[in-house]
Amino acid sequence: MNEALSMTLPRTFAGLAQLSERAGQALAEAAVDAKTAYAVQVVIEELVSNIIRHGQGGDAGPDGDIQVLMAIDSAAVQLHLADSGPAFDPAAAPEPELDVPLEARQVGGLGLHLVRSMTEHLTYERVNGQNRVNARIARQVGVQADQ
Amino acid sequence: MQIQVIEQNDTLTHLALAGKLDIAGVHEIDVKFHAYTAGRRLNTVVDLSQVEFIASLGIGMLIGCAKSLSKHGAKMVILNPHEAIREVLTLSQLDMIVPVVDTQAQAEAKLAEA
Repeated sequence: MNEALSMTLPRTFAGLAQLSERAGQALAEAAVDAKTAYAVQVVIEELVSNIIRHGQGGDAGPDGDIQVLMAIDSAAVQLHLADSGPAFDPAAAPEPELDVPLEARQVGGLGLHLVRSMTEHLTYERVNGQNRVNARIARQVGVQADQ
Repeated sequence: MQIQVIEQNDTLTHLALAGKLDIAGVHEIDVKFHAYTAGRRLNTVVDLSQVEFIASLGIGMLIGCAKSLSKHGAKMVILNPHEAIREVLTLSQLDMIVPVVDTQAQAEAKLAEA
């Protein structure tokens, strides 16, 4: 599995926008199919925005940043995210109630539901005061040889 | 992110969205979208054919406005999203509570249903 992107971004929505743009470039350079690339972008948007929204109270300064590594091989795209916000396991968040009428439908929890639906593996660890999330998105079509 | 009014009359609002309905995109159009949908309280067609990306915040905006319309006896129909968008709508089960159709004629038929 080859490292396609490594960056540290501020815990801000501007940082997320920068990450999305650079991830899009890296996915295109690695000839990742459009369907997989779309899933990767959704997973990035949901996981990082969750860190930004719910990560208040963590360390300020450099330790308050989000570290991102994206690796790509012929079978999957792997994302590794680390941040020093309050402990939060996205893999263990409760599933939203989706099979209810429109009037009873709640919006909360939908983002992590999408992440769980689009990932082959989603794991979480709390290590040395850091949240570490690994998300593996299987490549759908147009699988290439290892870069 | 852009929002365009295709048609608005006494019974219908027809909107077309274009661009990325990510966090930044939702923040750009959220107020206008609510005004055109929940504010007018009329049956609404939302054309997503020019939307390149949607995630949970964009889906939440659609659900929130569809709920508001429903409270006032009006409906929302999603028109012609491309495949990747449609897949996210399906994963979210939005399509179970807000009809997703391919053509204007199908949208009109859904809005005419009792």
